[in-house]
Amino acid sequence: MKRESVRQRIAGMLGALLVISNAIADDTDLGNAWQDPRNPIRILYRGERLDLWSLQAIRRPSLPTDIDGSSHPIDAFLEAAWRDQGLQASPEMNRAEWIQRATLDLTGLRATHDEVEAFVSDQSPDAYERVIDRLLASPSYGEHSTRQWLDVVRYSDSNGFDWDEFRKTAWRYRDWVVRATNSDLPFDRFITMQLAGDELLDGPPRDQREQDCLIATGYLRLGPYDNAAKLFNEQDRARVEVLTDLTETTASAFLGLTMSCCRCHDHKTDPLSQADHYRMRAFFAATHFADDHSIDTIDVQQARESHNQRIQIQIDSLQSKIGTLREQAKKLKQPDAPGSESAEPKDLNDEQLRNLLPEEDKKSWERWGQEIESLKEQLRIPETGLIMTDDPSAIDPIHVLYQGDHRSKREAVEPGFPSVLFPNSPRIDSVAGGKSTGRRLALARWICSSENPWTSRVAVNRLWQQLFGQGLVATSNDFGITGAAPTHPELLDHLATELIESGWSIKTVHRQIALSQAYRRRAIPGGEFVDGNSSKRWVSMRTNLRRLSADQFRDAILQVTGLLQHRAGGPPIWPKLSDDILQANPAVLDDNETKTKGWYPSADSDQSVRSLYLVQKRGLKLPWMETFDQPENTVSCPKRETSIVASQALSLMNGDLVSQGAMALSQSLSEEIVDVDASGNERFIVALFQRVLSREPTQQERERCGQFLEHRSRASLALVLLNSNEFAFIP
Amino acid sequence: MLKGPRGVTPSGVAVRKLFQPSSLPRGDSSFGDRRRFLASLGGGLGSLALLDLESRRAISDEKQRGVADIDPLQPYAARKPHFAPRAKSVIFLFMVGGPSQIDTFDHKPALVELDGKPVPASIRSALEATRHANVFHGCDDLILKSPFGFKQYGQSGTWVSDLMPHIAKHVDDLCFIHSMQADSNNHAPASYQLHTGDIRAGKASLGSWVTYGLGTENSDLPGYVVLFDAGPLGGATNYTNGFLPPAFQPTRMRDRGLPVLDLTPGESFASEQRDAIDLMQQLNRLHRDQNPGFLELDARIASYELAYRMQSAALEVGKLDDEPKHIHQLYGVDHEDPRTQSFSRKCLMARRLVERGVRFVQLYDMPDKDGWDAHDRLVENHTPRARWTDIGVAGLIADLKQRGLLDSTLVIWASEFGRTPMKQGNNGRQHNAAGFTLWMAGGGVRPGLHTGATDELGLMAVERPIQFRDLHATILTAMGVDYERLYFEINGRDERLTGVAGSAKPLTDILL
Repeated sequence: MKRESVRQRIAGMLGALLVISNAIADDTDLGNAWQDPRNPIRILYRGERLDLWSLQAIRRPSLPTDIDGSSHPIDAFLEAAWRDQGLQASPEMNRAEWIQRATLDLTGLRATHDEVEAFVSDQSPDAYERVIDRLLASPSYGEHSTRQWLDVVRYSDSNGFDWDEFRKTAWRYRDWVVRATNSDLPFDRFITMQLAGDELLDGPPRDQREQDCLIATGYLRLGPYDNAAKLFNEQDRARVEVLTDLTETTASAFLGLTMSCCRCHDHKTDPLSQADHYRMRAFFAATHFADDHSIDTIDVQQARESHNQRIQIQIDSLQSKIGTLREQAKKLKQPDAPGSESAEPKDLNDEQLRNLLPEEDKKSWERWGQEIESLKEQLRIPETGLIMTDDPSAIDPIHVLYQGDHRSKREAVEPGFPSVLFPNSPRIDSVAGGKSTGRRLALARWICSSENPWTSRVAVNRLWQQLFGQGLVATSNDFGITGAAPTHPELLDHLATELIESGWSIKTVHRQIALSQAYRRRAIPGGEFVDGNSSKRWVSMRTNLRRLSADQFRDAILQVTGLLQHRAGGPPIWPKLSDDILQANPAVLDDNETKTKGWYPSADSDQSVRSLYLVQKRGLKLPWMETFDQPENTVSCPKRETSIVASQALSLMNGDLVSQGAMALSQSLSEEIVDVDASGNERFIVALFQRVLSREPTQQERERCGQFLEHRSRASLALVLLNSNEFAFIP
Repeated sequence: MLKGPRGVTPSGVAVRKLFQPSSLPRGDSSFGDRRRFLASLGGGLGSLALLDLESRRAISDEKQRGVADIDPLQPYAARKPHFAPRAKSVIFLFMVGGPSQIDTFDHKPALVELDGKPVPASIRSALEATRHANVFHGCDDLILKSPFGFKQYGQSGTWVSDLMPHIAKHVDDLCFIHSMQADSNNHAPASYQLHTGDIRAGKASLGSWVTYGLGTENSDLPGYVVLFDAGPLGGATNYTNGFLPPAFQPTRMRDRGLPVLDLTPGESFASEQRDAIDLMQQLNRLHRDQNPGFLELDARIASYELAYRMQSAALEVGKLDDEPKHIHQLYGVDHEDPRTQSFSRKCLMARRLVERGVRFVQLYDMPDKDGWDAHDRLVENHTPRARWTDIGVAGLIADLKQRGLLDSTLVIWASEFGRTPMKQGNNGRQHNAAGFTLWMAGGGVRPGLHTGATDELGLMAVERPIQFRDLHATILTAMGVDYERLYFEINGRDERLTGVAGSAKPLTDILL
């Protein structure tokens, strides 16, 4: 096993050499690995690895014909597959459960009792459609979808490493994603703006749409950055880590390719060579941080400049008046007797000079000085963002790195796509009058092109995952040979085609999935269940009950206890944390002048916003988020994993969020109840179930809760429901 | 089955989720589950006897699972190692910031003669030819001799500086590696590498790997505990579970006050808690009847009982004041310097934790924001830090030994790197990733041993250079784990603590 991997590695190294020499020799018209014996990947792997499903072109599959014509297309594909395997679709869940599932999956929040009731009693034929359309139009949809995307693009508000500096403007990217999702920005545009938004502009942005093109390049800046590396002469390492991150994250997020596997050697299983990694890396070779560049629109910029000009004129005029007085003062100093000890006038500072003047002049000088200071405060400074741009005069030469080590450079490479399908060097035109290399734009256009077999499949798979908890391809960042194969390849291609043909409309695809019969079916543990007696095999695409994510859980508690504040974006909210917690990262104890290393708690009145808006640093995690399995935000996270451990129970039983929520809730519900007789408790129980679980209690539940309230407090009962499994899991 | 996370569902999908019922033995799709499931579909079969969690536990306890073969209902259950373990628990004493090897355990008499002189050309060019050339960056080309005296101790004749008089008494129990190297000369990347094997952020830490592989021996306490006043440089990324299942994230415990965050209920709920949990579990069981077969529901029901037990177990383990006076003295808990007290309490806590079966204790000595990072004024930096930590560490070794726990507990004293023999700033020293010292004790490590060596200045490892992956391989080997067979598949790769290249070499010769 070991020997083989050594041999593979040597073969890989030789192969990489071969690849490059071939690619350079026949730069012009190589074909893909199936067609062309000269294709470097075909040579490298001797024609193997080419049957990988995700390499094959996407074709719209025809709908299964022998299925009831009225079926939803998704169900037609699923049911045809199930019927072939002798599987029986799981029964439909009831309406109350369905709307709870859809609301939590699409918006991250719970359906209220009123919403559930309205839907349950709505007998109109389009009742389901109207629920989904309402949810897709809700601003919460964008917030929740944004959370999914931020995991994929390793969003954080800080650098990581020693100092973990706060990134003051990262939130602009987060808000842009919310805007983009809510307005259903076409996904190809969404991709292009993140990779090369700056290269779409030929000058300063003219409107918010163009400004968003700059903000979207925050994607390129979100990775961790070791800002201290230069102190130890390791800036080359830090730079290479940025390029590695961009290559690997871009490959994972948009293409489902595991480029991290071929950084050090040829890919062990997939038809990718080590050179392919570095060819993709070369698209980012000219990138430079542009955090200090203005992102203002032209009109704001012009208004700022003329405003500043006006202010500057006033400042200049005051300064020239002061200048006159300064000269006068210097002249007053001239007659000093030779040989005296006093300093030359040129050595005197303004204060000393001022004191030489008559009282009236002195006062004027002081007043003008103050006026200048207050005018300076009126000068407008440009808005900036966490953004990236190209410097065409400083393009890093990109080399294959032996074992991925930046000190071991091998052959130089030029930008290129995975050579199994696209072996030729792409055409790259510089953009914005030569101000940018156009490399990233070329990459973005290729990623969004219809010849690319990965992008739309990867995108719709994530949408499916958001609704079913697991993608049709279970490994949503890995569409390679070691990744999972699609459970229903035709369905995947159907959705991928729908995405492209809808003009890359995410909402269209989400709507289609959410309205399928499959989405209405009850979950089945593990996806399949065999009834030994009747040999019936039940199946569902929903294979588990998902515990609410860290964000959903916190948001749902705030929502049902009536504490949730809606917020329209902006800089992140900093929770109040004890010193004991803050000490987890010593950098926080060592704040700096630019106020990026410390902890800056937001006002009490702002603390109950949705979790999306809480600050997310790399070196210091928020205890709630950590306890409920927030993923590591340094690399792309394809899917949140959940654990169920005792520390979560402690947090939910004893932590401030839930106990304060339980108190607030029991108090506000009690105030609504006229508490005159023994039926007060009964009414409280009903109101509490409606509020927390969006339903009426059953007779059994009424009795048990009633007995509890004979000796125990209403707040404790509220705490019980907030801790219940029904509240914690999505049906 | 050793592959842990990779199971296969009936539909052929690779499973990565911890709570994926199909990763249980097939026999577990029990009769009770089926009946409940059918009842829920048909609705007419009425209430059936529930398959109780306890009987489930009996099923899964029939055979102890192997390394990383995780029972979704009991992710922390102890798992059988690959081979007989030398160590059952680990206490990792992390000295944050880079204590100087040449002022503690790597005695270099040549420095006295060379004091104030430039680095000899041969040594300089030897270093410059390596990837560690940047160690020269930022420091003067002037040698600074150790300001501390050295004496020999024990049968092994080990040289120890006057900074560590207490540890010095135990040198015959310690195994020194004098030739450690790190891949970065900056704190966070080097520290990440010592914790996770990679200088880049985001990989899984040693403690997470060990608990993922082996579980823990006491399910009423967390299996992977972190103790600190201030955390390590580079923050929480150091001790993260990274890509490993979130169940294997660490729990921070405290040596004063409540040992665990949110351990006890607020005032208004305290007296009602047991009744509240009982009602909650009744409601949860009713809910489970409607949703049979979902193990995640059972797991969550169980987690509340475990939390309830943890409340008392964690309070109990935190009762350091119950220890007798001579134990307090041994560790320095009663020392006059509050920072010594604080570190000593953590050492005592560490012993109480491993005594109760906790698998991995990660302890940081960071009392403030600086650590051992003596760029300036070495004496003023190192002297107090040695005073704060020396007695606690020595007390821990002595106490583990007298209780017979040292044999099964691997103690590691280490930092992300050492310091240069060259001067920096005002009699300080720069970081040095090219050669530094750590020691281990107990847990099957040969006592009184020295291996590897730096050059005559203590600048660069010249004899048997050891990388962190070699250290990690050694630790896992001591715990009975084959480091090549402990892995987790993520993004198309089998990630290992020791890296994917297979180049780690355990120091089997230092193991008993």
